[in-house]
Amino acid sequence: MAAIAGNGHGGNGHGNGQVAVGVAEPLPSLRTRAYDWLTTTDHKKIGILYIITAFFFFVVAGLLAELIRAELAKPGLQVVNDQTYNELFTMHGTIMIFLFVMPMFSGFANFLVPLMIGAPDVAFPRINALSFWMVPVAGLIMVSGFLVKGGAAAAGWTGYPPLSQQSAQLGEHGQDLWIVALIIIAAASLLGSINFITTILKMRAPGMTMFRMPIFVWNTLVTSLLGLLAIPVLSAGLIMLFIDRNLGGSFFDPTRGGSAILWQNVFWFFGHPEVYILILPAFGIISEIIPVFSRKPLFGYRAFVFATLSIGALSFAVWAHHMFATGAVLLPFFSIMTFLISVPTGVKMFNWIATMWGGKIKMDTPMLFAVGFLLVFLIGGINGAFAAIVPFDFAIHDTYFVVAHLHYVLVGGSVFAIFAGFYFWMPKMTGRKLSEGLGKLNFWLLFIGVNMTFFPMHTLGLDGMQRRIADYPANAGYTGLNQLESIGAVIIALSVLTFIVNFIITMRKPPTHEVDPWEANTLEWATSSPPPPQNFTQLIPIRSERPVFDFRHGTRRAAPPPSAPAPVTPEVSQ
Amino acid sequence: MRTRTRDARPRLRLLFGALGLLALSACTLQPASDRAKAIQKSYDITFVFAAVIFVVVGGLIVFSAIRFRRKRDDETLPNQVHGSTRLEIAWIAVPSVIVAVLFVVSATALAKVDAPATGNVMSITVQGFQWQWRFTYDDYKDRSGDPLSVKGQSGHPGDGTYSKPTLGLELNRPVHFELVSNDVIHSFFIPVFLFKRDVVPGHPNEFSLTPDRAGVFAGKCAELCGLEHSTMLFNVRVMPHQEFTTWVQHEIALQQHQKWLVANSCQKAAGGKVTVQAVNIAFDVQCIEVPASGTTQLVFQNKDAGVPHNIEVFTNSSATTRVAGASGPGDVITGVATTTYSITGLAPGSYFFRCDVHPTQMVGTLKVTG
Repeated sequence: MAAIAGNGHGGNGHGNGQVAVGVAEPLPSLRTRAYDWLTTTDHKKIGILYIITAFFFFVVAGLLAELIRAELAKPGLQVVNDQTYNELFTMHGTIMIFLFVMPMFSGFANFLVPLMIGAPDVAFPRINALSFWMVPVAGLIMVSGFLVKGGAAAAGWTGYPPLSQQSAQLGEHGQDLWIVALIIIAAASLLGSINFITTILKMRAPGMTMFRMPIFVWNTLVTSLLGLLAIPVLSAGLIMLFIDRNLGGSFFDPTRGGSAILWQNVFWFFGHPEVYILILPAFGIISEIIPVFSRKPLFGYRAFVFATLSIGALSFAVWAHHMFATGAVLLPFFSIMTFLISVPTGVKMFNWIATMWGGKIKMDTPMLFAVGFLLVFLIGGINGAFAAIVPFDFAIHDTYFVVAHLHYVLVGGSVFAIFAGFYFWMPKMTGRKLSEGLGKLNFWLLFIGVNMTFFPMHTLGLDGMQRRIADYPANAGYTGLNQLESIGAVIIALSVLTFIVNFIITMRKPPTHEVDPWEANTLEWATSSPPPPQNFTQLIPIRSERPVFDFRHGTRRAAPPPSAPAPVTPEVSQ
Repeated sequence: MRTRTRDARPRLRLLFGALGLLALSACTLQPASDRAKAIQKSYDITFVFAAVIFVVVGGLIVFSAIRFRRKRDDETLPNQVHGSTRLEIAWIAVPSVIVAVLFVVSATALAKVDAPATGNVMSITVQGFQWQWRFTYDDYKDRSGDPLSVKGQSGHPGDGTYSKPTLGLELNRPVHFELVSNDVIHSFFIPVFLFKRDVVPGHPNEFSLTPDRAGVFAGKCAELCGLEHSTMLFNVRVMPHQEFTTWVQHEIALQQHQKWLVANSCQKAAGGKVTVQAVNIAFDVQCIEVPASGTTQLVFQNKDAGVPHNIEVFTNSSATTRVAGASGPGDVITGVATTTYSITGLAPGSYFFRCDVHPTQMVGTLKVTG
């Protein structure tokens, strides 16, 4: 058990072309460190930069959501006007999806994939740096919409024309900034996808066969494949929209021979794989955490891999279930494909439960978030089944029922997994463990807040409350539940604040450099915390999908890696 | 061990409580059409499956998270089970059967919803525009042969001019709806019918249903359509035959009265100028009259803060040949503001004017008298 902890400090900086950094050496100046972070091509630093950027945009989009909830707490317009309200939910959705969840998972994948497969870095480190730096640039372009004439984009995150084209006639360009920012993000994600696919296929350590890769790596591979196939379609659609708005095109303008439905087909052909781009990495994180804290191998490893692959394939055949109410799609086909995709997702759910079954579960914060994920995501899966019943979708489409569904999937799914991932890999990223007490407070506030905010939305949706409305009639009977939701939103904010406090307190403490605090399974726990440049000086043997477990529990057949002092890696600055 | 399993019970009760809440809300659906009853049935069946799955799977998650907690100081490893092909097959097969059943449920209900209306069908054309509705009853005409048309007026509830239109329907009489839009996508949504269909420019949609419960219900736009999307509301009034007939007669009388008013009230230019205001996405006058000789100043006051408007005058309502007013759709003023156009050299006759930003809603007639 102590084997790895005692001698697993992987990097002594020797033999990998880097200058060895001794413990005694004083910390470099702030300027040197800033320069180092701004010019780095190290996948770990880029990963951390991604995570910090994504978290920043999480807070921005979260504040927009709080304004939305403030406006909806009472009938009538109190906080913002119609125009601002439309900008708020448009930017909330767009930023959460494209500038929070996507870059956040890119961050985790960047940090973890090379470590997990025993590689020194990603295949194209410079391209990696380029794809990261495009994200904050795109983010600034996106947010700058609030400063231009007419305000930010206000046509929803789905940007349906002809509505998204109207502002062009008035000389308002918030929507154009939205388009340009998304095109940049699309390019960045595409580069990232290529990078991950190449890294995973070509740079695995000896012994790391495909079927020994951690599930997180598998899911990153499938996510990247989805990105490779889906993102160019979005880029094409966005460019067409831009041409329509600014260069006299008429792709989507029905008054001049275009088709408004065409955009929806293009957008959702990207948009549904995108949903899985946002959730498969979360599945990956959960699949890493549950076995570690249950002290059992993942139940049905191969079933997981095949489930992920089939979800990836099916995700390209369900896009029109977002369009059942348009009267322009073949309903039975998209209905049955939508039902089918729930089967592999169900397989994963049962395998996670079977992994916990008969285990010896230690309920540390990462595991608490993982169990919370299972429960909340279960609701997100079940309420999604209602939307697959085509006739019932006619009732709930574009109502708060759908808002409940997508938030149970994206908050219940992605956000819970992201917090689980933070708590789990924080010791590896920074050499420090987040406080367990604050972590549990963080969890319970989020769990209560999320259910209080999003569960009543089911009822509102069934009662016919349509989405994207700045106001609702006082006699519609929506007021009480909306108030409850707004209180829930405050609790979610408190939860995020708890996390920020926890992070700051932890970062002010000296690092402990624990190599393997959770007794984990995968290769990133067989090198120092944080890992040295180039990650490993020597690898432990890889004979299963749990090399560190095998090493710890006596299937040790090779000599242990030499011990070395923990290298001093520049700290993460807040 | 005993105490631990007991711990699970209050949580399970909580799960049942949550389910109860959803079940309660299902009772509030109260469908009011034949199609809605079929939809409600598909929901009820799905709900039973969903409830069982939620209780079983949610119960398993909570149970295993509690039952299999590690005891303090227990450093031994549990049995290292890697999987079970038999179980994998089971949990592929069982959900597959469930989704197959649900698909049949879905397809059966869909067939009922999509079935064309037969018998004494009433046709209604629904036009969505920014930001209200117009319901045109092709089967009922006024004295001049124009179909009965009921139209709302956009704005904010509580404003002087805002009005919700009423969609009058006859109890137990099938209705066929045709949905059209000339601006952006809207969605025609009536919650008690458990139904909506998008109103797409360039792609007319249709559907049928038979209302089978009398009453006044809420209707709304469900697709984001711009600034005042949330106010695009209407009432649905389902009436027995006699009451419906009376309602139609009343609405037709009202329509003829409106026509008379418009035909007989025209704002005449005085002192070489005539003033038109845009208030709440509407012109304050629908007719202006100017002399053919000399130049008349058309003073245009846009009273809608933050909303662009203009007046462009065309030869007729096809709006192809411009004769006066704004130079085109790009020539707008954003309120609150005032601008002046000149009208000069027009031959006596009747012309058409509109706001280019709101071409369906803000229209009127310019009369040039000789």
